[in-house]
Amino acid sequence: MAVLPEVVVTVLAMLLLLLDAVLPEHRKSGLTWLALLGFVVAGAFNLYQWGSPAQSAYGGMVGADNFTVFFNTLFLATAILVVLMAPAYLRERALPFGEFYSLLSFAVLGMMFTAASTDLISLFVSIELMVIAVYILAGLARREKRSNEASLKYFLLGAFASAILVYGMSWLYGITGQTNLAKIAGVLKATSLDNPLLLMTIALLAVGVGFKVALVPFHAWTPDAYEGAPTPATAFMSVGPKAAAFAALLRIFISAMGPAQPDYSLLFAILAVLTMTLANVVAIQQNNIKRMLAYSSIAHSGYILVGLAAAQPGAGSDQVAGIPALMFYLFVYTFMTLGAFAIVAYVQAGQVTGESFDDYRALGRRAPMTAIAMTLFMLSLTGVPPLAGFFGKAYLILAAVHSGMAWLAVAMAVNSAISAYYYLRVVVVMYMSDTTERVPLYRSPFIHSMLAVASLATFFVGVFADPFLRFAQGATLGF
Amino acid sequence: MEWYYPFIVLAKVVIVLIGVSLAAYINVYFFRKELGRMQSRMGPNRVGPEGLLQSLADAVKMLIKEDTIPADSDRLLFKIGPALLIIPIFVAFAVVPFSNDWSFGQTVLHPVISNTNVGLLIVLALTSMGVYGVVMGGWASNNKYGMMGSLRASAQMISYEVTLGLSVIGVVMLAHSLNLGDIVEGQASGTFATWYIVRQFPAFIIFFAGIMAESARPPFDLPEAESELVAGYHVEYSGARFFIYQTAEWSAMLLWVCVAVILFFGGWLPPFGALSFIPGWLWFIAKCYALIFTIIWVGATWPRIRYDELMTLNWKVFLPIGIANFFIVAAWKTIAASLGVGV
Amino acid sequence: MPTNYIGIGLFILVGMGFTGATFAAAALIRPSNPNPIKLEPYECGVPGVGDARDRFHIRYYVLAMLYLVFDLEVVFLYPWAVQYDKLGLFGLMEMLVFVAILLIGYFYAWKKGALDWV
Repeated sequence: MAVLPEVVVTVLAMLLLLLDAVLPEHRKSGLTWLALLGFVVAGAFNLYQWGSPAQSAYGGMVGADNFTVFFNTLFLATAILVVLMAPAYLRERALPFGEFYSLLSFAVLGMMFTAASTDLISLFVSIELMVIAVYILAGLARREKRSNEASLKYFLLGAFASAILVYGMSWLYGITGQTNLAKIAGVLKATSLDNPLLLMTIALLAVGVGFKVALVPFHAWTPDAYEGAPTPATAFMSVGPKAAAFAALLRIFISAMGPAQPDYSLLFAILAVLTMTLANVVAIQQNNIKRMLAYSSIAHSGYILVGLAAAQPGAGSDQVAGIPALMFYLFVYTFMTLGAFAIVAYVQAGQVTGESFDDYRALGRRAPMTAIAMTLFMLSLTGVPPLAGFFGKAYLILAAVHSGMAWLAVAMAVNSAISAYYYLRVVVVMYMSDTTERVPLYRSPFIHSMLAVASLATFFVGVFADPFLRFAQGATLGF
Repeated sequence: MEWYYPFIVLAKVVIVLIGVSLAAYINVYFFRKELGRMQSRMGPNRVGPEGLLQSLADAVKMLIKEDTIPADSDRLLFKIGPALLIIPIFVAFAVVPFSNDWSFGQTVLHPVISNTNVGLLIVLALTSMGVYGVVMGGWASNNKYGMMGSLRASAQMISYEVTLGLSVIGVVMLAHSLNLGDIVEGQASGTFATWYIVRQFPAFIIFFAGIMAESARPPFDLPEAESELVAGYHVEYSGARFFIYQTAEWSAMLLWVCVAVILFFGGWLPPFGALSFIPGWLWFIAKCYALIFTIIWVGATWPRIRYDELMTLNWKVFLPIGIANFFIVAAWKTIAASLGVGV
Repeated sequence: MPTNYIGIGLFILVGMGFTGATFAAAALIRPSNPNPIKLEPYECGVPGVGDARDRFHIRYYVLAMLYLVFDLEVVFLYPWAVQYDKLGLFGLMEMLVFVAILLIGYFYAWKKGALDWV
């Protein structure tokens, strides 16, 4: 059964929907345990498939190989962490449990199939399944104007981007006459690459996926959508769909269009520099921590994109190749970003807004452990050794240097230095300012365990980076 | 294909079009007469013998009436609204077989214009386009009654379209075909016991309610509920455009009755083998008028149902029954196949 | 056979011709004396208030979405129904899974009141 983890998540999503409809209101928080159980079971089935020979299902539409196992691990870990951070926030704001978990499962299902797709059609359908669920997640707090705004902006721009993406796919189909990714690669290998139509296709596909991963100049929806969405949904949006969109980028640009790599490498390098520079400069101006993290997530899209720009298809398992560096960074990014958002959700849970920097005043004294965890995440996002973020960036910079784009490596290093300003500002506020306010922080074993997991991962993936890098390298052997 | 084939088809088209329009006018007369009798009235009896020319008089009257187009209306949509309703309904008659084949010596004439293998699908597709005409008419007239009427009409039509489509799945499974002629032949056995109304009775009930709702016959005539909406989506229409809307409604009813006779009443087949000396087209017409009589009868007997009842009936009663129905057929076929019994 | 569709094409043309001819004939013989009062939208004789193209209730949108879901389901059912005998038990099981997924959504919509019209 190549798609067993996906089947488990499907059943979980529908079970959650059914139980949400029949359970009385006061028992719905029990759905948290069901969601956790489901994702853990799916994760177990998923890890069990590591190393088994590549399989395909549904007439070649979907594949199962180490690449999917890697991304499924990422997605299911994201899902588990989001489920852990959600209950405190949801209960405090009286948001629906059942719908949140059910939509989350559907989104995770879409993400898993996105990574597993070996055909343009299944790829597009999976992306849509993912983003439609996320549009609703963003608007889950439907009595709140900002949440409505977030959902609508995300939906309108996302629908527009999907149209461009599918238009690009139709061009790709028109050029090659194939929808299967491997067959497209075969056709492209055999034909000449200075085809203007191919450039058009690359542009359309890059714009389409660029919207989904929030690259500058297609990032305009991100700050508003991230700010308005309920914080656990924001956390999920900033990690899950982004990782899935990068999986789609890899599927499209490496699996299918790998032979055209010389055509698009420079394009992505320029986009990466634009994205990280603009996002980091704008992030400095933000006084709302969710907006700051939104711009930070855009900046990280830029860093991750360096991996694709430096990718050398065929050199999959090389120490310093772009794709394993990209995937390793996604892995690292998941834990540190989810951790940062979990602390936002945690601080918000007991307060009315809790989004401004002022709400973090003296957090070091009010909640020492939380403040230490936040410091850890902020340092890791900056890229301070020996935390995970440092190694992620180091591998990406090495890959850029190795593929002859030293300027890209320099740009990335400079940007990391800029980003230190706004990340460390949080730390400064937490430890070096005082407040008379005595708002009690919420107590939830779920969020505490989630913070523990995320902090440990941020720390240990950095200190013991090697097995995780080998995990990423093993997953790219298929390319 | 012979060179004169398109001309034969054209002749058929013209004959069917004239026949349908005439039948629509006969139906109006039939409706008024029957309804009159059911309400202890005489019905039309002044124009022509027994009022037979009443419909003709009405048609002429409508054609010479002034055509007012309200100010602030969307003139283009207002003008093409009726045409958008009537043309798909007319075109759907192209796949309806009215009789078994007629042979004149060597030549065989098929009394169907387009003998396609997706006939039923074409009927459903075209009739679902009719809702555009209704919505455009109500929207374009910039009248509140018209707007309400078109909203209600479109909601009702699309709702019942779902269950209508669902109810015929069982019939399609029994007939293995979407060709309307094949569906009739699938019911042939000499007696009425193999007609699909006997084998698919729940489906017929859903289908029957569906066609009454689709053609807005009472008690499902909410789109033009006079007591609350004056005339629904065609409040502002007069003259020739109103005439086209009326023709479209009656043609739609005729179309659905023809399809119902084909799907459930064995089309042109006689109920008993002994009666097969009566030609097929006579059986077809007789069955159609029996059904039309029933529809008018139901409308005369039942009060108009409430809008929430209409929706509840469709979404909470007919939809589950429709789904259960075709699964029962499927399960029964699989069991019968594994036991080696014919279905 | 494509020749079968000639009839449908011709019928579209003839139907348009019929409708057009009716409009044209009526245009020739009918009077036309519009005046501003006559052209007002009918509102039981009182002067009209506001515009008819106002916002209308959200449940029409919900209904349209339900329609889309279930009508698509029905469209998928037709080819299945025609070929059912060849698909056999496998076809039955596949369709059971497909419809079961839809029915979960249907049940959810029912419970959440999307099918209630009051």
